Amino acid sequence: MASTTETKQKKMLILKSADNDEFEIEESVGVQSETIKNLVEDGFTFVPLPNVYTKALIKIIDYLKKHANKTDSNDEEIKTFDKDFVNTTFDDLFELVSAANYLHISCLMNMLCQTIADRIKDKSPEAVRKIFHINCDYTPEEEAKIRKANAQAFEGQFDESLD
Amino acid sequence: MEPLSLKPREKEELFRDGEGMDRDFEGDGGSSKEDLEINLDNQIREGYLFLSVMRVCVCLIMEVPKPVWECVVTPSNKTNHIDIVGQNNTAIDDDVSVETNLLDSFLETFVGRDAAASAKALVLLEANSGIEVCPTLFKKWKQLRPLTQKFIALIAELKKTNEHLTINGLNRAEKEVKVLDEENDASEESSDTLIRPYKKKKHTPVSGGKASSTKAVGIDFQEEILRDILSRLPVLPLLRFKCVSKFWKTLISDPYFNMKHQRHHENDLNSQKLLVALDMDSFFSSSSLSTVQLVDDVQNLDYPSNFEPVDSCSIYEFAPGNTTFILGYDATSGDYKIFKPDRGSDDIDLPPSYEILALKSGSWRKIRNYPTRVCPRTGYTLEICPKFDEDNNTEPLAFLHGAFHWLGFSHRQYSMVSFSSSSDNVFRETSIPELPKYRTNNTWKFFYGVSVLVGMLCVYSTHYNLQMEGNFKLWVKKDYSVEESWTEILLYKTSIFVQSYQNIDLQMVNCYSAADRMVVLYLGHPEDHLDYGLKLISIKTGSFIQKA
Repeated sequence: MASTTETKQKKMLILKSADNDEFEIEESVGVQSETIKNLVEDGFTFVPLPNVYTKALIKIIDYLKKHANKTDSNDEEIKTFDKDFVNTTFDDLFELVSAANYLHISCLMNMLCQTIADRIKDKSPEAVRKIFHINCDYTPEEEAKIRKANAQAFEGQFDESLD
Repeated sequence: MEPLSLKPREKEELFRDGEGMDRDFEGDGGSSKEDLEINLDNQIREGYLFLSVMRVCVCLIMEVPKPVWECVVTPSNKTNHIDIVGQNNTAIDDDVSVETNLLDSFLETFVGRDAAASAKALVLLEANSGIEVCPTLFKKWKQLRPLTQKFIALIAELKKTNEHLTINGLNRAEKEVKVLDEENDASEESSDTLIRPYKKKKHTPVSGGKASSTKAVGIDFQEEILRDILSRLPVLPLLRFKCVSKFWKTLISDPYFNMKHQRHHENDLNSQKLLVALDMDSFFSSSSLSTVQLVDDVQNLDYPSNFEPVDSCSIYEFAPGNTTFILGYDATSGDYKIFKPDRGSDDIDLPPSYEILALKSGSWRKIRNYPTRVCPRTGYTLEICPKFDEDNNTEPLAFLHGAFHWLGFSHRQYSMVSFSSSSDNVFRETSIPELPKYRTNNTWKFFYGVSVLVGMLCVYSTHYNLQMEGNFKLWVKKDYSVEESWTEILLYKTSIFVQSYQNIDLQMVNCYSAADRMVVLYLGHPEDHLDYGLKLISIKTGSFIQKA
């Protein structure tokens, strides 16, 4: 069963984004995603990704390509790439993290979640609300109560910026 | 928006809207659901109804978040469900219980209540024990909710039917599957045409470079992703973010989240529990930080034997009464253990020993069997215990990978000794980097120590004289299981520290771990017990690994 896949080199896959754009990538690149890997193992070569938009998919394919060619010598290069990769707006990061979660790319998930966590950890609750587009659903009294109950967490100055 | 009326509609959709179903379902896939999805994937052809049920059940199984609805409706349509929960919790609870009951009786009809169904489910779990969740579910079967049990039984039933088909007529089954597949594709096509314009519209502002505020990105986030992000935060920001919204508060206070948070920070134990001696008359206490209930959860502990408390308070690893204690989390028993070495006494022929306290039992246990080594020269057998000073204080110990570690000293030689916290009396002796050989005399002093840095075991040495000359060296063991992976990563001339502290000679350097990739050095003077503060050295991830 598996012998046919072994003999062929550079097997290609087609990924279709939610905007119906199609991308051709090497199978070896694609299988870093568990979701794609499972489909490939079931014999699929055409992978519709109804939850991943073109913009995110392009970035993610870039990421997969870079990481597929990981060797000892380009370690530094990949690090630079990763750093660039996450150097973007929160909204982009959210798109990417949803896509990475859907595609089950754990190293990317890890990097994105850590980046988001690192970037919000010094923020004020107000800034976090804006960043996550959340409307505060507390009454002022309720909020004051929570602040009081966790007073030690509100000591000091917090970052109000949204980037 | 009309939050409450939204609920029933979505519920209907969940069971009726077949086309959207499998994409919805897949869209829900978090890594922990992966295995189930694989199983489920085979079942898609069994019909959308089952799938709908499973989707609900998978969510229930994957569990815990309190507003069950949050799970069930994590939708592909981008509704603001965070708001929904905030609106009226009681009404939602009612909805949930109605739904739970419906689902319960539905499952009962299909699976049956009898022991046979249970047995099938257990067989399935056992047969798939290679899949991470299965053994856990198997073990906890009795505690699982009936609903969860039934759901697993349903999967077992379906799986069996599938196998049955395969055995009885592979070709026929394959043909059937093909037909269903085609139907599936066809319906996907048609649903695509329906969905496309909707999505296009939604997406346009984003591809235009800026997310529109109506898109409310945070909201179509799956709960699991949010949980993943939050679990990486230290305790204080978490507490602070409780006031972001009611939903966040629910999420952060959730026991499942705490477990995840704890697991995430397992290697960073100083963020987990705090071991403090409150004051002279008070108790030796352990306070939990991991449960986000900073002040409420203080447990008073007995004193170990031969222990005289003094007024002293420090974090994680400290020396009240000049005795070293170390706190560690034993993942096997899910309990915290406190370890205290004792050097014994030559006068009354008391051999070195240690005491260990399991937080759950709350009492100290004295154990007298340090590993021993026979001296090649004299033939004496000596314990390899931590090196004690005159005050029964040891150089720092470290806790990592479920074991307490120290530099054992015997026959003029250091070695790394570890003691597993889970199974008592298991010692291991492993290699350490070649430490610089210093001689202690009146002018030169040295200290060695062991600590944890960014989840890696590390060893350091400090060497100095009264003229403030000397150095500090730090090694890490990059791979815990590989003896050769010791790597020197830092060499500091001690005068660097001394410069900023003028006139104070560096007497002691302790190295602590910290989550932010910092080395914390403690400057102090052991003789007059003065603290000169902590010095932080930041280690960039890049250069850290680079040094290899």
